[in-house]
Amino acid sequence: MILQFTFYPILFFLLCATLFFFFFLFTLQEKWGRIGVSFLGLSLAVSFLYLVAKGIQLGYFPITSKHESLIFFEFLLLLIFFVFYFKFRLLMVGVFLAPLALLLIVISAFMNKETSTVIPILQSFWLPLHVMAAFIGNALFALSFVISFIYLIENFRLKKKKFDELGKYLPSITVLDNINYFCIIYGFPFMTLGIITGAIWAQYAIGSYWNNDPKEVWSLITWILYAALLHLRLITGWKGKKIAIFSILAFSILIFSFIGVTYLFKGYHSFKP
Amino acid sequence: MKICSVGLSHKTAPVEIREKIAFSSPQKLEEALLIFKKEAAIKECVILSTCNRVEIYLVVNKNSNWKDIVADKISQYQGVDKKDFVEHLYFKEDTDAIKHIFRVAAGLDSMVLGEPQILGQLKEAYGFAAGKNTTGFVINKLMHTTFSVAKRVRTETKIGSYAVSISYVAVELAKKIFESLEGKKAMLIGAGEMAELAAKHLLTNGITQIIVANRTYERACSLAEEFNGVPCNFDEFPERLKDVDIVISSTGAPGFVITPEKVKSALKSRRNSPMFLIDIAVPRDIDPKVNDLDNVFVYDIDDLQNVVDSNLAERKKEAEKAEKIIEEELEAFTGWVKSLQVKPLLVNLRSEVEKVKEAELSELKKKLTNLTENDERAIEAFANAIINKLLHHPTVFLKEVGNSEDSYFYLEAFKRIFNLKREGEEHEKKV
Repeated sequence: MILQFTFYPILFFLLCATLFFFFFLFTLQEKWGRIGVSFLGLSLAVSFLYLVAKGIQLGYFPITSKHESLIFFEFLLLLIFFVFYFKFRLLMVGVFLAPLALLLIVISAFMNKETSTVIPILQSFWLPLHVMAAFIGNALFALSFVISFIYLIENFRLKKKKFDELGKYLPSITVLDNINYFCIIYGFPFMTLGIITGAIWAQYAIGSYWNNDPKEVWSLITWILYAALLHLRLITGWKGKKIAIFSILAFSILIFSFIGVTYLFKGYHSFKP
Repeated sequence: MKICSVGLSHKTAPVEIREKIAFSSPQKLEEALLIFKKEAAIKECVILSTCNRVEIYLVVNKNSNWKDIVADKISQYQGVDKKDFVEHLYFKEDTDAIKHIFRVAAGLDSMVLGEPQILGQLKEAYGFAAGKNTTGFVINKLMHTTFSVAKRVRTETKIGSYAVSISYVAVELAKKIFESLEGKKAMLIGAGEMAELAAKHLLTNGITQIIVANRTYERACSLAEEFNGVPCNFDEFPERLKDVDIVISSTGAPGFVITPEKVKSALKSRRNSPMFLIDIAVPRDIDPKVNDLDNVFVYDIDDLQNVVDSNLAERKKEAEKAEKIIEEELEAFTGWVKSLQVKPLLVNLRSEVEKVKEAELSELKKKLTNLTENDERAIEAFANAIINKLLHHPTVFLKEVGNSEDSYFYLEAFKRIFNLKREGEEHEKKV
């Protein structure tokens, strides 16, 4: 069956990409990094095919279960990676991103892959809009998270005056800081849009904009954090290291509200009817 | 006939000797080339004369006392007593000479390991000598091979890709911080050779403006003029810090000139845009605590020197790879040189001809099926007779010219006419 056929290749290609990127990090020979990027490209392609197949089977946007939404998120993450890769050729981003994408897919592999009929509460025109906006925002924040890590490494190396072959593959801190800024300034409106469309959708489906669902509350907390981050950057004039640390913290909270909340609290976002 | 090299370099001779032996003007170079060329024992020559080395590459007669001739001529022409410099000279022949030339061109013998200028200088020296008709068949071949060897070293190893001077390292670091120096501004506080050199390097890499601060305002003005920059009173420099991305400090002040407070206020005004502070002064101008501030990177002279040292170590590693490439190329080239000797060439020719004969005979035997043994013997004798007659004159000619002065030329022509190749030559052609 097409679904069985297309899910494991994603896992396999990501595993290959991760291994080649580690090999690249170990040997610092560019060719291994390039092979890693090729495998990321393959994972992107098969993720797309998988989502299309799921969508056809469901007759609906393939984001109705946790399994599907994780793959959809992985797909967006890789897509955004390639947008940046073609502009900046940052192999080092792949080193961090490949394991992150792999982690998402491994988690999704343990989830129920069966498609059930779409629960009535989810059926709406607002659902794909809500999820799309939220996920694009999250993917940009994920990239900001990775870029922040690389920034801290490069900043540390420059401060401690460390020079070796690795430095050749680390971009300048100005480029890193600029990409980080870009991710947040574009990620934030998408996140905002995600929350607004979610509220409208809740109004249609449940009849109330705000239901104090744990996911809603945690999303709001994350939103406030990123709003604060933008404020610090634009108004207070923070740059570089502080922004990077803040972005890493904010993304950790985001991950918690994205995955953790579903298991720790009961709410209608847990997709269990 | 053999390839030789004579020379002295920073490794063998002090500068007092080098400057006496150097052929420092094109005119001197031309005169010297022609003097050497006039010698009966010397067939071809190229002179390479730079501030770090003087080298003469020669093709000489096999049994000549070329060492004495060359040393005498240098002594006469430069008016230096032979005993003053001859102990600093190195004389190399054949494989040693070729290897030496390869190594020089690849920068392996240079003061700064792997520096690229020497290759350009060698190309120039060769072009000059070729223009004066002092080069010939062998040197031409040798030089073209040398250039391709040097190019191979450059592309296949990373010997040239590590900055090994303080000012280059400063520019590389600046790029690690700012990505590009286009549109960035710098400030030069104080003066000094190294600081000015660093400032110059920054300018050639795209810095748009340099603010020059100095205790004496006149000095600031003259330096500013030199760098096309803006002079600034020494007392005003802390206020101007906020306008610049890069600071090079090199004052003679006994204490710290740039303190964390000054940088902190500059950072505030420039909304934490990164700053790169280079401290070339001893004692230091910049309080090391400044490096603890976010978005500020302070490098003092020792830090830069450490980078230079570690880059030099990297170049040494790459030089080992380069030596391997040179060994390979040396083998190919000496293979070519050897192929230009009469005996192996004749053996080679014989065996090629025998191969042709055997092939043609077996073809013939297939067509004429009812030959007797006698017939076959007669046919073979007939073939041998033709071969021997045809090869008689070329063989005699080759033996005659083999000892002459132009032998390389004839031997190479002979090789080409009969399409004779030797091992190692395939590789050499590709390069």
